[in-house]
Amino acid sequence: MLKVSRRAAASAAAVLALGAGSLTWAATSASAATAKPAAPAYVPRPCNTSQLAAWVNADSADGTAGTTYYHLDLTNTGGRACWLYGWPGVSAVNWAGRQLGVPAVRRGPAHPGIVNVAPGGTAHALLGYVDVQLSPSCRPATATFLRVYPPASRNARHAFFPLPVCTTRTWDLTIGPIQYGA
Amino acid sequence: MFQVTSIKRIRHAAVAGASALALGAGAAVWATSAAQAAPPPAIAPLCATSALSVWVDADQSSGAAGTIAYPLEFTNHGPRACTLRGYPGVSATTLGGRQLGDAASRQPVFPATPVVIPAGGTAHADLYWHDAEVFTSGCRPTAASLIKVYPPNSKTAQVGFFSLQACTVKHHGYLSVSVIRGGPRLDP
Repeated sequence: MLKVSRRAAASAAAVLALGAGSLTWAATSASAATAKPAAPAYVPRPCNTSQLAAWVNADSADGTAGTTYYHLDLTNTGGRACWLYGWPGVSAVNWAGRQLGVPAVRRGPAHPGIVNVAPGGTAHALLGYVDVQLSPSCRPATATFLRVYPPASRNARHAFFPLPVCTTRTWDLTIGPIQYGA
Repeated sequence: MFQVTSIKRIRHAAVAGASALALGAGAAVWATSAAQAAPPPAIAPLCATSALSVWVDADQSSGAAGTIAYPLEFTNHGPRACTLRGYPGVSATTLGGRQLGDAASRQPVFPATPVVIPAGGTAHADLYWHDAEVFTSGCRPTAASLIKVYPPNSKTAQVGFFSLQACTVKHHGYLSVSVIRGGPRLDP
C-alpha cells in the first residue's frame, strides 16, 4: 500500500512537472493500468531485487563430514512472475553489515537453467557451510546475516544467519546456482 | 480502513458461495458473476507442520515507537494447497534450542480467518519485536539464534534463523504475534 501510494505520488508529481502536454499520456497509462487487472499475459522478466526476500531454511540442513548444506531461498514477494539465472553472490556479515571472511565459493554445473518464480513462489540455491569449529585457526566469529546479491543484481538482501564463520581468508561457504522450488 | 473493507469482501464471498450451493443449478449464473467480483474461498486441508518452513524476512521491517514488525513467513513446500487459521505459538531460542525469556503474546489486530497457502506459496503473521522492552527494561538481552514456531493447532514446531536480541529473564514481553494472513508481505 505504501509503495503504491508513493508511486502514485511520484507519477502525480511528474504530471505536474511536465505540465498540460503530458496529460494525454498520463490518461492513457492510467486507463491501460485499469484495463489490465491481476492476470496479464505472461511476460517473463528478470526478478527485481526489491521483489525478493532471501532466507536460509534452518530445517533444510543436510550434513556430510564437516559440511552442512542448507537451502538459501529466494521468495518472490511481488505480484508478478519473474526469472532468476545463475549464482547469487553470498557473504556473511555482522550486525553492522561488515563482511566476515571471504565470499562464498561458486559450485555446481557450468550451465545452469533459467528458473521462473511465480508471485509468492520460492526458488533456492544450495549453500554449503563448513563447520568452522573444526578449524579454530580461522578465528571464527558469529555472523548475523548472509548478504545475498541475487544474480545480476547490485542490490543485496539479508537473510538471518546466526552461525560462526571464519574471519580470515579461509573459505567456509559454497554456493550453487538457483534451482526450482523451496 | 483498507483491512476492514477487504475482510468484509471475503465474508461476503463466503456467504455468496454458501447460498449458491443451497440454491443449486438455478443460481449458477449469479454465482459466476459473484465469483468474478471476488475469488471464492478455496477449501484445503490443514497444513501439516512437516510441509511448512518458517522464516523471518529480515529486510521487510516496519518500525514504530519502540516496536519493529517483521513478517513471520510460512512457506508450504508440500505438493498441495493447505490451510492455516489463527495464531502461531512463537518463542526465540538459542542455537541449542533453549527458550529465551517469554514466548510471544497474541496481538489481536486482525480477526482469525482461514488462509489457504498454495503449493510452493507463502503466508505470514506479523511478528512484533519490542526493542524498547529488550533494551531499556533491564531484561538482560542476548542475541537469539532461532525462532521456534508452532503453527496453529499443531503440537510440533519448526524453527527458522533469527538473529535479533532477546530478553533472557521472564515477565518481559518482548515479542507478540498476529494471526496468520495471506501472502508473504507484512501488513501495511
